[in-house]
Amino acid sequence: MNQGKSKFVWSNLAGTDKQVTVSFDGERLTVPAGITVAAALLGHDDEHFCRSAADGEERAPYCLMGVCFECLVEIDGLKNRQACLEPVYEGMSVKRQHESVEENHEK
Amino acid sequence: MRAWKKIMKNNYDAVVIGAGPAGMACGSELADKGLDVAVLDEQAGPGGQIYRNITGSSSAQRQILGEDYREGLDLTQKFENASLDYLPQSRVWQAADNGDVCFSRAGSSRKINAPNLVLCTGAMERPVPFPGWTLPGVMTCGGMSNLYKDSGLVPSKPVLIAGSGPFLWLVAEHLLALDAPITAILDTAPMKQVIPAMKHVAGAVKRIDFMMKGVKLISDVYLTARKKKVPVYRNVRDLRALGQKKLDQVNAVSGSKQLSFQVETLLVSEGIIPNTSLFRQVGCRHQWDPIQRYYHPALLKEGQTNFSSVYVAGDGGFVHGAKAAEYKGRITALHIAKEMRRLSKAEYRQQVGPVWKMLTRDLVPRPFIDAMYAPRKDLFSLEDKTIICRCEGITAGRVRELVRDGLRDHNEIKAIIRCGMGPCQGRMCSAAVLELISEGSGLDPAEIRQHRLRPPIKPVSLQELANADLGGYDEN
Repeated sequence: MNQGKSKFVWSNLAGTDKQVTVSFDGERLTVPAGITVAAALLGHDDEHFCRSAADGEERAPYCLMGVCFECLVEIDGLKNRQACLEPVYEGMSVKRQHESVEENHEK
Repeated sequence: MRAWKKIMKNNYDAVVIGAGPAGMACGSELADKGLDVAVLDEQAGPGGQIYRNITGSSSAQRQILGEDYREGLDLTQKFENASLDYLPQSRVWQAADNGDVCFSRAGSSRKINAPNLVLCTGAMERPVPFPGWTLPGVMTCGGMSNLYKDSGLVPSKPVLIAGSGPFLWLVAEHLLALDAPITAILDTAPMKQVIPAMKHVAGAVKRIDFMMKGVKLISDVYLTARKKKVPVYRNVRDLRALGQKKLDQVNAVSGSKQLSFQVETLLVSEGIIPNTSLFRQVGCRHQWDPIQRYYHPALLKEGQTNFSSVYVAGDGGFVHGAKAAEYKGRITALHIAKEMRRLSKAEYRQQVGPVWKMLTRDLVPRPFIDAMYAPRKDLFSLEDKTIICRCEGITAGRVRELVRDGLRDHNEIKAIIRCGMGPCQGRMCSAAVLELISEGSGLDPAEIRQHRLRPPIKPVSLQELANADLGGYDEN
């Protein structure tokens, strides 16, 4: 499994053998099936997920339960997905989100 | 549990939002009484935060997560066997007192309706700003716990744990068991809070089993920490996260001692509060709890809000823990079944009685716990420079200026400086803004208007709206 430069490791705790391959900013990652996109990315690389829309500061997941909105990524072309709520699937393409998230609230 | 593919219905007897302990218990009980129920949840599997991934967890995970986690197995199994429509990965972005619920799922939005809505949105960690809390590498204890529950991800580089409350000790216990490289544990609970808590101790000892479990948890962590040479500091204050693009150092003060740690991860926890964002969007009336210092929905005994169609069950109503949430979910369900004439009054009384008894027993030690782990006095004594609104980068100082200018309402402050207008819609800053308004105006938070979320309360793409199915009447 890709270890990248993360400060987290996959323990064999989850006891799952099934894996899926996803791409993150064009790089292929092999990760345990069934986990969230946030866990997949954190296990690979501890850099930022997105930039603050206000000042461009780099941000990474804070709450990992859907309330802080600091893990917004682009998944298969759709922006503003909360990485902590989306499970990975084979062939998924994830991108860091650097643009403003303003469009969220235009209905 | 019916699969989503077959679900094309627009109308139900009840819609439950959230599949944690309260939502699962409520949904199963309603289905058991023959009501037509849909349960919507954000996550991919049932369990909420506390029983997260319980159906997918390995026995090794369940061993480390302990008995309290395993207790969720029965409840989850009952839920999975219940005859109801379970809609995981559904993001509810609007609900209304006429029973409408709008949500996005699998690339499209839809609207469903029920005469009874039960909002089981659970709890979240109290968001407490401090210098550097926006740096990558700073996360909540709950976030860490979700990582090892979900995916077996554990820290491999130095990690620091800081904060107060029972949940912090639980996460510390798990991380010690997982052999995570913990640099230190910083306990920010002021020792003197034991004194006001003592007046509740006589009540609490009636549940000596529960109290001993708490004492044992903390003393076990101390023992294991000592064995592993992990220092535990008490009376810690002035927490500061430092780093250029990500966390590399944490400073703090313990007594008269300056502390400094080189770490890549800082896990924080300053207690648990109800997640009220959906209730505020709906317009439910709230009340202020002066001990735990949070707003919670004003509820009648069976979870009724000020709207006859809207109920709240579980920790979203008031934080009492997973078992209590389960009982509250069942009580609300039985009440609805009685109102919908699926239970006679006598049947209702007979069935609800034992659940009330269990709930009452469960709540006995809570006043002690709530006082003991009340947010400390200086928790929101924020420096002017500290960012409080993570989304918009607004500092405590900017909010103070507006309060000095006479503003007393987060909603007005938001309109002027965008504090609370970003993607999280104030979920992370509203507790701090409330405290800053109170600090600057001298008003009691109970007199200050709450921040209200506007729909959509979760991001909705235009594509999801374009694909929307806006409901209607089902043909029978």
